[in-house]
Amino acid sequence: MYLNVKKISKTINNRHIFSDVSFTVDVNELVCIYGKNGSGKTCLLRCLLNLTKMDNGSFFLKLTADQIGVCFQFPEHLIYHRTVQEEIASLVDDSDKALNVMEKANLKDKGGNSPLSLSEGQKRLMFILALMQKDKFLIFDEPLTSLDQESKKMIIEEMLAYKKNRGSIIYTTNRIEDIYFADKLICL
Amino acid sequence: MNKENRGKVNPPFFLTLDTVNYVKNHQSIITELSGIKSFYKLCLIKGRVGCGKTTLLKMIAGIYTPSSGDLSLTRNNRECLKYFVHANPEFNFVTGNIADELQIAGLSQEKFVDYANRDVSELSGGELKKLSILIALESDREVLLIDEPFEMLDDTEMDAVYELIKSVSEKKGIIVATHENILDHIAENVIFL
Ligand SMILES: Nc1ncnc2c1ncn2[C@@H]1O[C@H](COP(=O)(O)OP(=O)(O)OP(=O)(O)O)[C@@H](O)[C@H]1O
Ligand SMILES: [Mg+2]
Repeated sequence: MYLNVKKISKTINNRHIFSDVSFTVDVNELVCIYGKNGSGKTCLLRCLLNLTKMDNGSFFLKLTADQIGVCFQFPEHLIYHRTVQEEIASLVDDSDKALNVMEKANLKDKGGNSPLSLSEGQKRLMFILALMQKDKFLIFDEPLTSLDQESKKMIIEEMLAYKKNRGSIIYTTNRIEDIYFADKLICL
Repeated sequence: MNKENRGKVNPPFFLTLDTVNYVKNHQSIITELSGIKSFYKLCLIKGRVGCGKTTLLKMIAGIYTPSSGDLSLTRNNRECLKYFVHANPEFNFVTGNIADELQIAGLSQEKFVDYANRDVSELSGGELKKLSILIALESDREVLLIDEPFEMLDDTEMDAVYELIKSVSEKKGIIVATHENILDHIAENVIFL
């Protein structure tokens, strides 16, 4: 088991965002957190990443920080490098993998551009595909938003292959059409 | 005013593209785009991730200038006043405080009581997207240019925004860039990139 979440709750300004949420994430498991806008999906992920405090409950994460990859709802917030090439290189181990990401994300001629100049969908594709090259445990907030149908299909396939062969993923969605391929569903 | 009347009273909008090119970093993003798209209510820009939907919408808005070629959005042979909504809702806000944002947009706080005393940073991704759209729909400009209005919205909010766009398009022109298909059947014209 990679993650064990026990009865965690979060209140902001006296409003219950979520209460008593419990679940586990096992090895090679794809877990979906589903809920409508404002139901607390992002908040829950932020708790698991210690970016915000929870009020009650506990969780146990059997992994070190360098085994965990995160793509936030706004991928801009992850951009640290001057060029797309440097950004990808910082996330993957070798140049073959970097090339693979550039190809799949259709960014081969954009290597020298600033990551900030990419379209919303391209930023998301770049981070998601790069993170899937390395880490063992992935946390994706809304990985399927801002993608066209083809790219969405590709990411779903990549996520399924990843969980089968490499590790586990927690992802969030607020669309009912995007929950069907998960092994486990957490509803907020 | 009903559909039939409106057509007679107000002439349509014309989006005229004359060999429009947009080049950045020696890369061609929009290539030789030409054509005249007319509409009374709703026109769509569609295409895959990274194909230049946002770039085209920003050129129509006057935020970007074409590298070559001409482009105009007119009604009655006069360039229209446009309101642009960014796909990333964080880019639609400058002050961080919602009451201040509403004041800048010249809107009364009453229509937005749910947001009283709240900061932009307190809203979830989808809540912020919804607010950007609500503010845009209240604007008094003739044409709204909305980049990805449905991104980050849940199923219920997506339907709600669909209804809002449909009803506001009775009064204003709207151009939407989107990868969703929900507006396809009410759009009068589509630009495929
Ligand atoms: N710092 C804060 N102050 C006050 N309220 C907040 C704060 N952060 C989040 N909230 C509220 O908590 C609720 C949950 O937010 P969260 O971002 O987790 O939603 P979400 O499920 O990720 O929604 P979406 O699908 O729109 O991304 C929202 O109603 C939001 O307005
Ligand atoms: Mg969220």
